[in-house]
Amino acid sequence: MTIVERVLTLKQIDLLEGAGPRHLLGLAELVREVEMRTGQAIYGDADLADAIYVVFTGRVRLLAGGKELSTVGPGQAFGTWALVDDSARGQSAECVEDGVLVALGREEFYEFASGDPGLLSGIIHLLARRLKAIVAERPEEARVEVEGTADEAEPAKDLESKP
Amino acid sequence: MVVLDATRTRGYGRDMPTMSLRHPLRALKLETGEGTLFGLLALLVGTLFGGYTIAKVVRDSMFLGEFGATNLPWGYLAVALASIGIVAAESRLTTRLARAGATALGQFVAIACSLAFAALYPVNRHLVAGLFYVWAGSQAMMLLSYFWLLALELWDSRRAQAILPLFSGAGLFGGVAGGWFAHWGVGRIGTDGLLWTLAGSLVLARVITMALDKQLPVRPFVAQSGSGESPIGILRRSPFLRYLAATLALSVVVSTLVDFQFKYAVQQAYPDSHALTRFLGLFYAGLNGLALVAQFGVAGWLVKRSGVFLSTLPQPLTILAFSTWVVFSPVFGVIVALRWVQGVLFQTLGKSSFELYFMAVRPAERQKVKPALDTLVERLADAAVGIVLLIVLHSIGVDMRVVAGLTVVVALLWLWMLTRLQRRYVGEFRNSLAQHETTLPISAAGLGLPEARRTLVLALGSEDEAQVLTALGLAGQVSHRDVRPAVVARLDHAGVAVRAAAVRALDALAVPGHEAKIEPFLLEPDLDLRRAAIGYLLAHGADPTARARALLDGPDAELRVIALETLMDRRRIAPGAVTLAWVDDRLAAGSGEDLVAAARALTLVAGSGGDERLRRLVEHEDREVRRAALLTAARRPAPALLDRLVESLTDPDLAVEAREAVAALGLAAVPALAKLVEGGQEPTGRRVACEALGRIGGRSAIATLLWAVRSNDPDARFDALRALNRLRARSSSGLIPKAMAHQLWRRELAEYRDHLLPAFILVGAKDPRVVLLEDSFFESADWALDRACRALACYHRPEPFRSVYQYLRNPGAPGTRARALEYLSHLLPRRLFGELREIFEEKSIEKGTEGIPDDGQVAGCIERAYEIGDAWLRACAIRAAHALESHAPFVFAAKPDELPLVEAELAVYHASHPAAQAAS
Repeated sequence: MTIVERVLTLKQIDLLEGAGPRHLLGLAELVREVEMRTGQAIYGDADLADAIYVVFTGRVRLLAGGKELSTVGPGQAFGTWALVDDSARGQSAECVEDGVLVALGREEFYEFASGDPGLLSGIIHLLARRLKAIVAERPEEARVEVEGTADEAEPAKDLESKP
Repeated sequence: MVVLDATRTRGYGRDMPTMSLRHPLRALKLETGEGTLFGLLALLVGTLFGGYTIAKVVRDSMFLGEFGATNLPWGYLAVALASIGIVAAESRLTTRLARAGATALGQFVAIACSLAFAALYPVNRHLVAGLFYVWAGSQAMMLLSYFWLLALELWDSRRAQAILPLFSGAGLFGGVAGGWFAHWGVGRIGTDGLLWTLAGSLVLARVITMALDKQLPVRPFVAQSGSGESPIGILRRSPFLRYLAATLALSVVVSTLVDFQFKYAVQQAYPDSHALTRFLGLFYAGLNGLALVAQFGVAGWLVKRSGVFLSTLPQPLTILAFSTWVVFSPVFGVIVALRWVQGVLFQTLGKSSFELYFMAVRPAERQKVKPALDTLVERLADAAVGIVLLIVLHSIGVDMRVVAGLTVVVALLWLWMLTRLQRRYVGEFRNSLAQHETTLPISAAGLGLPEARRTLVLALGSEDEAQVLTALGLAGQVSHRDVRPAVVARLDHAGVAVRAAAVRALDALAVPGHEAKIEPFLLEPDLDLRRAAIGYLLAHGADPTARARALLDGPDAELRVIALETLMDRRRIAPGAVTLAWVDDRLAAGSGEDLVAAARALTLVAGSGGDERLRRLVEHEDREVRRAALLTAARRPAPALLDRLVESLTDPDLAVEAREAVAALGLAAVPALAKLVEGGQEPTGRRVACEALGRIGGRSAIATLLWAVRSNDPDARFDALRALNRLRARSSSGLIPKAMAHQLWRRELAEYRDHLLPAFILVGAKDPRVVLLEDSFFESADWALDRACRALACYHRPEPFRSVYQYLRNPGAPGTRARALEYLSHLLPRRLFGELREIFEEKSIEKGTEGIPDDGQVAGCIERAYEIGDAWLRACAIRAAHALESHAPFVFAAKPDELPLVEAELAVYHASHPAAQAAS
């Protein structure tokens, strides 16, 4: 893959949609190309979220508790929550058609982003827009969540959901 | 190389001379460059307040002369209704106009009204008296609101607390002048002459505002509360705000009742219109003068000493006393004294204490609720008084005893409501502490108030550990005899975090004498507690040098590191504790940790012996040792290490530390940095070299940066412009001639336009390869616009240009782009501004680019990108060419020294389009 192809692939990651092409250029030099074979596990439920993936060729099935959630193909990203949450994946991914994945490690991402505030600000803007949409939908829950005026037992569900 | 005018480049860098205005500005808590702005604002508020006082005198004398005091309730009612209408119209206008536009419109309307009143007065006095009364109480009042909005927009809340009272003083000074002028002038120029003077003062205010607009920075809009909750919703939810609204309403009702009694009494005493005007002028001049003295004398002291509650009490209590007196003896002197005392206390203690009560409201909610309370509650209360007075006057006639009795009743209600409000006020602080909010909705000054202090002491003694931690975090800001023992008591707390916070609070409060209790904390395993204890013991304990040496030579490695860090952070607390022999011991020990400690310790060792040791550490193979040595070189300039330091600039991992070390060398480093900038092969080195030059300053550094600004490499131009902006921010005048700034602006704006046009053409394309080209064009345009703004910021003050750039590229709210263009219209010559307006206002670039681009348009954009673009844009152009399979193969002529990025794309394209390769 050329660098431009890698940038085109990274643009599929929804969390990076606000990042300009030249910001992605630096990241493109850090990504790994991972070959996958049918039946191979990409990650398991209990694995820590340490990288995000984009399918370049082939197909990947995503499962939660043994139940299929979806199948992703070329140009689609998965495991993207790894950028903002390093806890256990809570879902598994396995290859269902031979191909190549583009993997971006969480550590590499943050090391690069620490020198590129523009990239981080793009992600923060995107997250802020989403949070704003959630707040607009459920203002009362959001107020409680932000101001801590009620028990912390019931965070807004949308904030917990993972792709 | 560019040879600069010496007068423009003199004084940058480390030897920058101190400006003569610096100290007076600091005394006023103003920053460099804000002196003119402050002066103009003070002149504006003085003029407005002076004009408003003339208007008040004329308004009252005309109304009382034409309609009599018994018709005042109708006046209150009319003013209230007009104000509500004007506020509603004004809020609609401000969503469409920028603040400056709304202010200008308000001022022009006021000038037109005042001129019309002055012209019509000799023709129809009765009509003018009525209309003028309503106008002066409603639309004219808005001019003062505009001023306060502008002042609040310019300074954040912390600085506003210090600066805004000065404007209040300037306003009161204008009020004294206005009142005195009305008193002096009515006999000489008559009422119509005063009306013309008022119009003149409003014209003068407009002229000052225009001069002010040229000085104003464009500031980002303050984000609104994210909750989207209406002011009424917030009021319903907050009992404290409901009490505050009720208290405000009662204070307005009392003020209006007092105003009625006063005006009725003076009309009886001065039936002659001119005599009435003379008296009112003198009265308002005296009232403003006394308020001015009180504001800068007693008021601040009383609020700080007695707290907000006790400072609020004098107003209702004195009104209660004087009104009771009027009930028994309604004589002229007592009524005038009542109005006088009420006016002075309202202007001083009343206003400040209400502002303090508002501090207990969360900032986002305060921003929404305060304007609503200020306008709606005040006006509705006025209207209510108008109706009540109409009923009273029509049922029992004019009886001052009854009105004074009514005032007594409402003042009692006001007092009762104040006690309820106070209970809620203290409760708000307690809630904040109970919820562990580290950023309380009050300022440090607010924490010093007795009510907040008492609550803080209660929180310090709480059982809730999190609450105690929050309180200890705040206690360090409150040096008071009640707070200190409460903090000391927490040294015995079972929680390690609480003890650490208590030690830090005592350190911040500089309370000595607790070494015996704190010393054992050094033996505890918790790092935070040990750090806090060392900080306290070295700063406030006996013989800090001996103690520091004991820690540095002791067996505990962790304590050694903490002690060294503490000595570096607070260099004055134990001078001479670190010696060259100690450094040599660490060097001899030779572990990574020891070498890092030795490198850091060299910061504290004076003399040439340190340089050689520092060189060894800067050249060490361990990256962390090198980093520590570079940081020391930044604090302890070492010219002998220049070559080694400059080499480190190209190491991305150490570039920041190396930059600081090189910049610390000053002008001696410029020739070596110039080589890096002019060599241009290594982007990281060039960027960091520009940053170092931007820290050094001086003629030679600026000349090197200007060389880069004129180069053909956009990245080099950006790096150099950023460095120049940094220098400009520290300077009192432009770094380059204005014409040069305009020339640079024009060049970058042309590049912006060149990239924006193809970007707009490609909007709507579906193929991701073409979309990538479109995004890259937009990004190039953005960057060119950024450089254009930075070019202007080499001559003009740079601070506003960050907002100008953001507003132009991404207008987030209505009017933001208009604000940026308005600002630039003041700076740019007409011709240059016309070019800019053509792009942003007339949108000529977007014209003809609507719809999905056809293959011909995409092909044109690909060719354009390859022709004008940087390496990235060229690579994207080649990739986008794959999307046009039906198009004849593109011939991409390879450029000399092409980057691998482009070569890789060319190879892929030529592999799938052999004919293109042959042609190229």
